[in-house]
Amino acid sequence: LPEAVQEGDPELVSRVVRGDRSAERELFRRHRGKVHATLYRVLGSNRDMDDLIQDAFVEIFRSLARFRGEAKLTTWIDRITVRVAYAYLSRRRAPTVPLEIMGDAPAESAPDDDRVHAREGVRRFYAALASLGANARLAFALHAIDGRPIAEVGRLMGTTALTAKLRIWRARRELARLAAGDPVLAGFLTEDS
Amino acid sequence: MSLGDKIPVEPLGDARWDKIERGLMERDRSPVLLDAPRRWPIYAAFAAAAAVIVFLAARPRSATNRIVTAPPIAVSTPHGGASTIDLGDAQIAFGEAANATIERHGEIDVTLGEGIVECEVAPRAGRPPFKVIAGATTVTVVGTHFTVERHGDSVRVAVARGKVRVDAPDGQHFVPAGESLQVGPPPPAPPAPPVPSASVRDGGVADAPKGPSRGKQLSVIEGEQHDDPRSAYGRLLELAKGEDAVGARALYDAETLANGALKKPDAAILASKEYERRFPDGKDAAPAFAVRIEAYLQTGDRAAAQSAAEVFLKKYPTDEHVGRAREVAGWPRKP
Repeated sequence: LPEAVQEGDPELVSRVVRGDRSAERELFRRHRGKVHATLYRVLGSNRDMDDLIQDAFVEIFRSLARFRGEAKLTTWIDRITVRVAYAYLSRRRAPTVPLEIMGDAPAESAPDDDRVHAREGVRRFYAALASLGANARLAFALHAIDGRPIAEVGRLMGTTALTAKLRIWRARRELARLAAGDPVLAGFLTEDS
Repeated sequence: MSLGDKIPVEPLGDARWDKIERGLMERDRSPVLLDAPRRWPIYAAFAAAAAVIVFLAARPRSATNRIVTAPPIAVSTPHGGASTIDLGDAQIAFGEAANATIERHGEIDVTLGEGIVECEVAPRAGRPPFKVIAGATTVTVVGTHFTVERHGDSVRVAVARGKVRVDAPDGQHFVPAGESLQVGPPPPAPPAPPVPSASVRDGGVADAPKGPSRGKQLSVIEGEQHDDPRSAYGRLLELAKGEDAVGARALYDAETLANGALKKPDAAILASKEYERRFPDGKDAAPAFAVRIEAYLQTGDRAAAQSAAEVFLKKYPTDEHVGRAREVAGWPRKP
């Protein structure tokens, strides 16, 4: 809750800057859910998730000395989380699983296979995302999965709304191309992109 | 159902959170500094860069300055489409409903008739000049990443990286990274064509006009709301009159702006109630309600906030804001 989270945050930030470990714990507990959700939506289920969450908070703690309260603390944390995700995508692209070796979707799924089918859709979706460049993937994930407005995506990525919009377009176009040869992915993307 | 709804975030569980927290507390927080023994790669990089500069300065320049002439390329993208042209040292991406020509005759000229173009251009030293011509406005590139949007006489230049020179009817301007320049009147707001099926996706509200122009207006306002929240608020309320997904989003944006930058919690509460009445299944229905709880707290009406939080918990038991709502409602934390 944006405004409520702001309440009390300045004092907490001051204590973190002074090196108060209990304040760090409090800040971590207060914001860990959002940091995790953002990283999860951008990167998917990821074996490095624990380290990435730690990376994000280490960067947040380090950077808070520069925090002047001009933006909301949540926005500040979002920016750093996005930077951590970008750095991860840039330095180590997630292993791409070629779609042709993932197996075809079952022609007729039984009703109780819905969850399995949905999980497979998510898996193929993140495999497809892994084929995108870091910028396009990040912009698309923040907008289409995390539900952030384009202007906010631009701000978080340190670019303009127009550039963010173009990156999202590129991602959509590439995903549509991949979905043309993958009915499971196509089904997953239906009703959205 | 949006993609976000299809991808629920896997909860980590208390034990794993504890482990992450313990690990975090044990990690080094000091700024990352290069110690002395590791500085030699920097010196080596400087030496290599100096060698490259000497080489480039000493080599014959005719090869890099050669004039390339090629047939003009005409680009036209449909609504909802996009196109990218790769010229080697320049990548040019066109947004929806754009039309342009690209000419290479000693310099690269992109003449933009209408729409948005995004350019990622290598530094021009030793390369042909690169220009985007949008009516009476000419944008000359030094080596940068920028966008130009043209609608009739209205031209907007936004620079993501580097710097561009803009020759406009009112004079010459230099636009640095992170800034934008509006030449001529702001983009007009043409009536949006009805898009009956697409409007369902974002807000669950059908049979209402929704088109790229309204979405584009909203995007622009969202980008500018921090610079001029009062003006943005008025424009958002105007957009919020629409019964489509853009109207819903604009109403939610207006609510958050009222509760945030404008410090008008009463207006935020009214906007929240209006959202609930008009867009009960809107994408932002839950956060719009959640902001109302905070707005009540801002007015000092703790009882109303508590009551709203209880209603919120019943309506949106799985929303990400339930933790905060439980706190305001005075409910115990979930184990």
